[in-house]
Amino acid sequence: MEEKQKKDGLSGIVDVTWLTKDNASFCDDEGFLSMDMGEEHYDRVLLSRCFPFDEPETHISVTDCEMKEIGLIRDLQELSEESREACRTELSRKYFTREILSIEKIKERYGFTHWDVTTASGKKSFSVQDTYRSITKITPDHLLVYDVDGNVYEIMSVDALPRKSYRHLELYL
Amino acid sequence: MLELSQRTDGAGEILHKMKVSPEDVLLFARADLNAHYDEREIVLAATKDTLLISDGDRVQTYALKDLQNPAIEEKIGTCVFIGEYQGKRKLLATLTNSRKQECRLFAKYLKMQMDTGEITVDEQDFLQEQFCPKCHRRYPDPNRKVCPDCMDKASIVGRFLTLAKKFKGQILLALLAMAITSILGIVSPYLSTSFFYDQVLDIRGKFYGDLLFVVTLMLATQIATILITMVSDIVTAKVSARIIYDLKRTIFDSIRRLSMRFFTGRQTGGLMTQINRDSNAIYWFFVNGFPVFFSSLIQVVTVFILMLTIDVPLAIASLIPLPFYLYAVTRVLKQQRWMNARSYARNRSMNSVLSDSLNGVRVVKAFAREKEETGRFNYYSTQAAEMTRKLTYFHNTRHPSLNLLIYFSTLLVWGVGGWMAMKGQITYGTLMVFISYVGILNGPMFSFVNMSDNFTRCVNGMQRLFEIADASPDVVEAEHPVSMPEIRGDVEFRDVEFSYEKGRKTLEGISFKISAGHRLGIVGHSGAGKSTLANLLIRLYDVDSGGVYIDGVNVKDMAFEDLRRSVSIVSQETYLFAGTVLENIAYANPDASKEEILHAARIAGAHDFIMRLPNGYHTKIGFGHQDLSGGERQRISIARAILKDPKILILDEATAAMDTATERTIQEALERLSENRTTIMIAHRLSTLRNADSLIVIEKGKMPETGTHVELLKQKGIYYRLYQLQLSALKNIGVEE
Repeated sequence: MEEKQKKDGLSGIVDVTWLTKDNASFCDDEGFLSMDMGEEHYDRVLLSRCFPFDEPETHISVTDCEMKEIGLIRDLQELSEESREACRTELSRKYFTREILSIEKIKERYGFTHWDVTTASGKKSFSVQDTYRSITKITPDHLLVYDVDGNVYEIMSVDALPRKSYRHLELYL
Repeated sequence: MLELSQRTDGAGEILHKMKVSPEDVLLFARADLNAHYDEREIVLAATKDTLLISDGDRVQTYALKDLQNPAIEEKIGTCVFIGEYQGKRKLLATLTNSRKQECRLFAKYLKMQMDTGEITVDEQDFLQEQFCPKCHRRYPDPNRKVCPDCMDKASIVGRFLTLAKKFKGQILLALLAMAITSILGIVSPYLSTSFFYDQVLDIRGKFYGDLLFVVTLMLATQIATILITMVSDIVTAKVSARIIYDLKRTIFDSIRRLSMRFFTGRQTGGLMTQINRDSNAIYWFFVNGFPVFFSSLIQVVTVFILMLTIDVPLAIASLIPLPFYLYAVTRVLKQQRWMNARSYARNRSMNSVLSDSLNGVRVVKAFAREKEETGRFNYYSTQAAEMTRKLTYFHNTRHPSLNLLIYFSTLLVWGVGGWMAMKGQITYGTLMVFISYVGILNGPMFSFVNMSDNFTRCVNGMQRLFEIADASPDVVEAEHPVSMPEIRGDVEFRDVEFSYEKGRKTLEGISFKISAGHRLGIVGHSGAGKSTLANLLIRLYDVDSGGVYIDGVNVKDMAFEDLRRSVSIVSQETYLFAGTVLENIAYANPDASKEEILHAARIAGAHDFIMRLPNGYHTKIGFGHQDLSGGERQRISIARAILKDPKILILDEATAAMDTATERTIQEALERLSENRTTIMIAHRLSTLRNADSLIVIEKGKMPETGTHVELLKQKGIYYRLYQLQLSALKNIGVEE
């Protein structure tokens, strides 16, 4: 109850436009997401997850191409089916990751680690600079690995990795 | 054809499939995702009037005359190649970040071709090679063109040894001493075994009964060994320390010489830690690793030759367990390295949590989170302790096992040698000396295996240090600089372009003039590029194109000393060195008299608070001493700038950290100071700039507006809007401007 009051108190101070199926519709237009909001039509809008690690489909910020926020989507479920799918596609494009299924080798040389892994789309090799900073733990079991180019790899469950893969990775956890 | 792809295989074949003649292709690159973000080889090719994109199945063709603004847009883990085709935004291709660089260049040169009808290659674009030309493997760090596999270790060591040249005599002495102690280390067991039993105790021996002689000889050998070892250790430690000192000095000299860009690309703390760590690795290799290796090598080779001369079968027998031992050592060391690294990582996490909580102790207490912080620390501390326990357990179990394994060597000699002694094939003394020699032979094997690791660490340390020593500064003084002991203070920026990172312009098309003695105000949002203008004027960085001029002379042609003496900057970031207040103010002009320092401090509004400090101007400030507030630090830094008495004064948000009353006081003082000096004032608060002769507005790196306060208000542009915003903010609190 107290929490609720607090929320009400803060939300009374700021002005947020919440986007729902009642006031907004989204459409995937040849690789770009467009939006209609009332009378307004946006040729292209960009989506950003406010909490990308644990809320993939809630609290999504919608901005124009100049990164000026138009509004927030509280939950994709509050959008129409078609809008929801368009937003999901756009989010999956933006937050593209490759899932690591197994780790064949991690070789450490001169402050860099060279990874040979198998992903859902085949074998990959990449280099990671400073594992301390480049491995993000979403939970102790769920990891993101950033390579030197800025590509993102995801380990959905460390515990579910084959034993040998875990042995390679254990050092950096 | 300008081939931008890092992979060069099969370009001709692919183009053939796309039904394009390679001769017609001007640009060629590869993307790697299809429209559904599945990994696929996507080929981008441009002829003089067409853009072709193939995903292997079909080829999309775009007429360049209908295409506009091709560009790469970055997402989180991917990029998109977009453009406007026939007036409509078009997604041309998608790619992972691995292909970002080549596709960015493709877009850049495609636009150049569309705009100018030709492609002029900018060599800067290709300086940052990402792949080793020898083995074609990707450099782990594109900023360091060092391939760990192809690094020429011999030449690095050779270069290091040139530093040791001046200590040639001492090094030879140390090596000689090491060789002598190694030989003495072999003589000693010979005296106490074979010689003692066969020559002194045996009635047939040459020195039968001469106990005093042999004991004296043994003592003399021992004393000689100790003395020569001392000499060798002292010389080695002295020479190594001197070489490392020379190396560090060379590095520090290089660092001083390097431009800002070198430091902004690295973390300074990390850089210093790395230099120290590398120097230590080199030092310990030469003080500890190499001498042990060198003397052990002499001993092992000599002992083995001696063993062979004494008895070949027994010598061979003693070697039988050695391969097994070496294999086991390699395995154990590998595991040990792994555990050490893990222990290091866990300790690092623990230390990081500890330092986090201690640095943020005020916040921790303010939010009553002590319990949670303790819990967090306990978790990491337990993890680190657990790893230390495992490591100790590992040490205590594996190493004795290894000792047992190598002990088989001695047992074999005992068995085979004992049998031979019983048969009378060898004497008892020979057996004893053999047993001692087996110990000498096997003893250093462990460190031999470990040696390659230490050597690699040492060479890598040298490589990194030489890399810093070899780095060339971007900003260099002209070979024959124009001497300008006195300047008037005219400043001009002429069509300046600049970027901190390649491809992201920070400033573009900036042109303005300030006559000597005038005041220019620079207005703009945070991150617009205002402070960059100041950085360019004092040549912390050099412009990419255009020029910055003082009294009509390009700053690139001015001597550093003249330039930096003439321009003084008070920035929003203050840095005070550890020392007294006096030393910090006098930093700008060490020859200034105490009275001048007092005046400078008064003008900066610092005098009053300095006098409240326990030791006045002699109060120590900086790390571990008197703590000053942001405003106080800023005022000392202003006093420092004032003391320099420059012709050009840059005030970069100089009074932003102060309360309004103090700001007003210092503003007045600064205004008095800026009379007859060219002054550039950078500020958010427009009221700070009310006395400027002219103003420029910087917005996203460009200069959309320029004029006086009145002119800019009339333009009703960015300045007008900022003015209105600040005015209404003042009105809200009941203040009318």
